[in-house]
Amino acid sequence: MPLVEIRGVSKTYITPGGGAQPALRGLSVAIDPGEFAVVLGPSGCGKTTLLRLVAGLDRHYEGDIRLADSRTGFVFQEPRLLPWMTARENLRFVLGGSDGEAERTASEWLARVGLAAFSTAFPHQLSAGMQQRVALARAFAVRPRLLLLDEPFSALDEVTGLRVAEHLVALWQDERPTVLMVTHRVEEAVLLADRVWVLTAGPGRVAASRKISLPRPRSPGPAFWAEVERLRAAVMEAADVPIAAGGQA
Amino acid sequence: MNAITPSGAGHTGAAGHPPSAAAARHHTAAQPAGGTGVGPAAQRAGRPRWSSWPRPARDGAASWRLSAAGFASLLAVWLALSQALGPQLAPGPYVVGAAMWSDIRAGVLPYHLGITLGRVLLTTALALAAGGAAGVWMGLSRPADAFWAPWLVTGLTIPRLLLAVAAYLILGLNEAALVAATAIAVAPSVAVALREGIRAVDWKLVDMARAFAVPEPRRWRRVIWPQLLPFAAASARGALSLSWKMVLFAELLGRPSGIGYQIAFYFQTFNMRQILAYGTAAVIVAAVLETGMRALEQHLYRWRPSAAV
Repeated sequence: MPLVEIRGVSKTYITPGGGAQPALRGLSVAIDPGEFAVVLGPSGCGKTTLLRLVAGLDRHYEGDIRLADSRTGFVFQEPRLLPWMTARENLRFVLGGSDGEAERTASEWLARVGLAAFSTAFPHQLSAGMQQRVALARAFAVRPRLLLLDEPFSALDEVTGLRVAEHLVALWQDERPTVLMVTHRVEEAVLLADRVWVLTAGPGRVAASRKISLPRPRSPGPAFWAEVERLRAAVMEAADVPIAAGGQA
Repeated sequence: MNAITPSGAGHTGAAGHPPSAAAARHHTAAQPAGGTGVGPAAQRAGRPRWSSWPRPARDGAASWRLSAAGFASLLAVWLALSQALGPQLAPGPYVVGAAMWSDIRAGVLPYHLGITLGRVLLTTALALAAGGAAGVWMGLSRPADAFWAPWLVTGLTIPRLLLAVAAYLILGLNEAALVAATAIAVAPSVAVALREGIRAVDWKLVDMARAFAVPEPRRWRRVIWPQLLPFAAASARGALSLSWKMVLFAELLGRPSGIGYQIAFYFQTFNMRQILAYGTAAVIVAAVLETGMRALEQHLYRWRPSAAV
């Protein structure tokens, strides 16, 4: 039984002028427990909208979204740390339970992303990569069954992004939450995913689904680049899918 | 992410050192060729002249020296005025200080000062509560903003004198009239500040808290309120300052106690020494409150980059 089941989900935004702007149209995706699923598509195809709907941040949509377990963690494009709290306090903020237990959990997760020495640092005292690692620790600290990742490396340079991705893979392999990540970068999808869902240009709907069977840990060799090329071809093909104009959700 | 292979370089600097250390190194490297030494001449050659001007946030001793100089200049002007106008029209600081001390020892000044201070704190608290609630509501709701906007404009522009006189005429010469007039005079500026504060809230942070299922009261307490705090603190300082003026004026106009009443009493007898004694006492208490609030703000904003340097 899938942990996440998204069936025929459509979402339309109302523009300030009163017009309709469809973001998703009839999107259906099912993700198995423990799977690392990536939704891949160009900017404006409704990727972030999809995550907001799954997280329950927006409840105005058509279709059906079912989560077998509502414990979710979220990593956004930007770290979204509370600047008036230290790194450890940022983790404690999202943790329930007693103060002592939350304190221990927060410290433990900061240590697991290599930031034990920075637990009392405020966000402005950390580099962008360190801030995103705190955000990663925060998402894992709540012991999520479902982890939502909204282009978590897009605000980082390539090297820093890769380091954060290494931390993500290590934590995911240890904890095995189900992951739903959205990105527009084909290489990221091949590096991380078990399964990739390719979306059309907005309004987004699934154009293709592809299983990535490369062994882990993955590194950029011939097989990796061959998979990247195949997936890139699927993305290009999806971008050419003709979209009926004026579709309503 | 076109190049996947990690180079292994470039990350350790960011991970191993706080950004400020890197910035400090960069700053040193950016010194002009003539400014590599550390002597005064080298520093003069390497810096624009204005860069030696003390920055209050970082140079506490210099800031204190400047404040002391400012205070001394104030006393000097007072002394000069006293010399020019004579002790009847402008008694000097020593005479005024002696009068203050005499009334403090007699218990008269503390009594009236305590009454005024109580009125100021009560009216400020009421204005903050009412104005703050209205401002938050207007910031969150467009219909509320549209409905209350004319009230706000009227409240901001109506002369304070009119409010005090109208309150005394409608409610009588009593405490309720003073409190109502002052709170109504102060609340609109608080409402404007808090409305702008709500509009400046970073709702992405609130979304983050919602995504982690943080309960709403906690979201208000730990995410929204800290963002409102600078606006609330600024409006509290403004409200306190305005309340002082309003309360003194309302006491002068229609109360039998308080600093304003004492000033009105000594005005009848043209006793400038006593007028200045009570006025100076009010200024000193207001300054102490202002200093306390500044210190509290500094403590609350210690997480900010400028405060942490």
